[in-house]
Amino acid sequence: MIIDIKQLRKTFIDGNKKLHVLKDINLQIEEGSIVTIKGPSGSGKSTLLSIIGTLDNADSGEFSINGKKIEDELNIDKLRNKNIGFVFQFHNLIAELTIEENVCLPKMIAKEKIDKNQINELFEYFDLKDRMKSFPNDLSGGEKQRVAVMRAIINNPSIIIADEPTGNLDKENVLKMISLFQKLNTEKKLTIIIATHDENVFDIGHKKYQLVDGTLEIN
Amino acid sequence: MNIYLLIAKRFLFPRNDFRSNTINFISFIGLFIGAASIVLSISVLNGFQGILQNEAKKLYGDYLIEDLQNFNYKDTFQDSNIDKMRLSVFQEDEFLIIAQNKQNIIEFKSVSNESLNSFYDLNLQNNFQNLSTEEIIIGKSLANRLNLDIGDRIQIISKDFKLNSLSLPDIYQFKVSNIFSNRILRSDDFLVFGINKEIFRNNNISIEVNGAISDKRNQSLTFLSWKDRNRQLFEATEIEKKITFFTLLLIILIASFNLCSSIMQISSHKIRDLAIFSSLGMKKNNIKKIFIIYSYLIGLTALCGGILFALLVILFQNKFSFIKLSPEFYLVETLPMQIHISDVFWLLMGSILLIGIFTNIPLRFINNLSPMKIINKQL
Repeated sequence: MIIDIKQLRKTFIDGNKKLHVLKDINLQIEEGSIVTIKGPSGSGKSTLLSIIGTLDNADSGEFSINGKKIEDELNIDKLRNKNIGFVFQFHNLIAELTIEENVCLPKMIAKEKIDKNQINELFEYFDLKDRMKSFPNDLSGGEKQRVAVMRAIINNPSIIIADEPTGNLDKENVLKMISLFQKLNTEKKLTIIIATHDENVFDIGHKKYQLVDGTLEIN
Repeated sequence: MNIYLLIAKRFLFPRNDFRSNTINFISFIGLFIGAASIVLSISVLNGFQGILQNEAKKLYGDYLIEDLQNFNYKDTFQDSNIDKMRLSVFQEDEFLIIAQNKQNIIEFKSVSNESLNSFYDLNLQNNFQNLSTEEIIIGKSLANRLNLDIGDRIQIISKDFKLNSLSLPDIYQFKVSNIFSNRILRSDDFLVFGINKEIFRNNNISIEVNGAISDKRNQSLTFLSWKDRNRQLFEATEIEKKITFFTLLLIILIASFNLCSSIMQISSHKIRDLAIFSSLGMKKNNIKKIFIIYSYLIGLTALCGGILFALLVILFQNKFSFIKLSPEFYLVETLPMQIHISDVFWLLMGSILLIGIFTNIPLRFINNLSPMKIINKQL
């Protein structure tokens, strides 16, 4: 079990109103699986992914990654850097850095030596070898999202969290992203958690969930 | 390259961002002007202080050992560890000078002919000739006030009118042998040189020393430096320097405010990028580090540029004297400029401190940075 979530709750306070976004969420994710989550806007998909990605804290409940309780983890930034890769709806690349520098960011943050061969192979794998020295604004939407995926996997994380990864792509690029996620899952044995509105993306999940009214239901 | 330096450099020169580039440029110019102004102003004050010191040394030497009684200076100085030393042994007291029905209080300094010739630099009107015990050298201002010229005769009376056995004050006759000029410390208003020692009532001798005094100098003697002897004047010039330094440091302060607003602007503009860094595992302190480096890249470049510019001006002024002064008012023909490493050091330290403080103020929001909120807000 790579991710184990028990009785997880999250509430937001909006003025005098309490908004129970996540109610007693239980979720177990096997290593090397693809989990897809869908739900209407504002249903709490992004909040759940943010908690799984250690970007936010739950109000109550238990949450562990690779058997380690998150609340006991002292260096949460390092854990995130080493174990989790993010792909957002908007590519969220750094405009001032080249594509190569964007991809290498997690490695540089971890102060790890950058293996030029590994980078070259990665760019070849993603068919972006000739765009290494370009800047994000010079790339198309599909290319930017592929770069975001490269950045997410550069540190060989065990988990990829993708929040609406195809929300900003045309149909052709959606299909490319789907096949890319499947390829990464098969070849690199990555655990992939995807929150999506897109039925095509939703269908690639080995386990599919629906987030309705703050509770997670298996589809 | 260090990742924080790399990001700071890229944020510093954003592509197609005229507003950020302009704010950065204004901060740069402010710090550049501030640093250059401080170095130039301090160098001028140092220059005048140096002239004051050099001119004072011509009349008073580097050090004074005062009021020694029954003192065998030759033996003492042979035993002591004083390097390359030159001495002038003298007696000094106040007297009243009378000439052509005018009188004035003077400081009579009785020295040796050898000292007059080689120890002091008096800028004499005529070439130096050994004095007899009835001859004196007076200052130019005093000579003008008393309408005296070389060859004129004067009388000198003990200032406290101590009376001799005939109940009359001792009166000594002297001839003006030469006239010196040195306007520093108004010395040519009151200082009179001679070699006569009989006019002094006590046997207190003092010694003026020229040369490097080693740390191992004779501990039984108290050496008073030029600064010790002219403490008030020296402190006044030092205070002037400090006030100038702190006043001009205000330019750096204002430029630091500008830098602060530049950091505020760039950090709020880049808030999404900061959230991304955080999501990739960068610690909040390291995110702050980017902006601290950013700030110091502007600050140190501007400071070093300003200092370098000022040093070049000083170098050119000392080499080519392109800023002229009227010697009647300023004693010198060109603007004196002199800078010490310590002045540059304190300027850098003060500026680095100010930049550090004003960089950290806008970065406090990073402690509460919530990447999840920022990233999700755009969805």
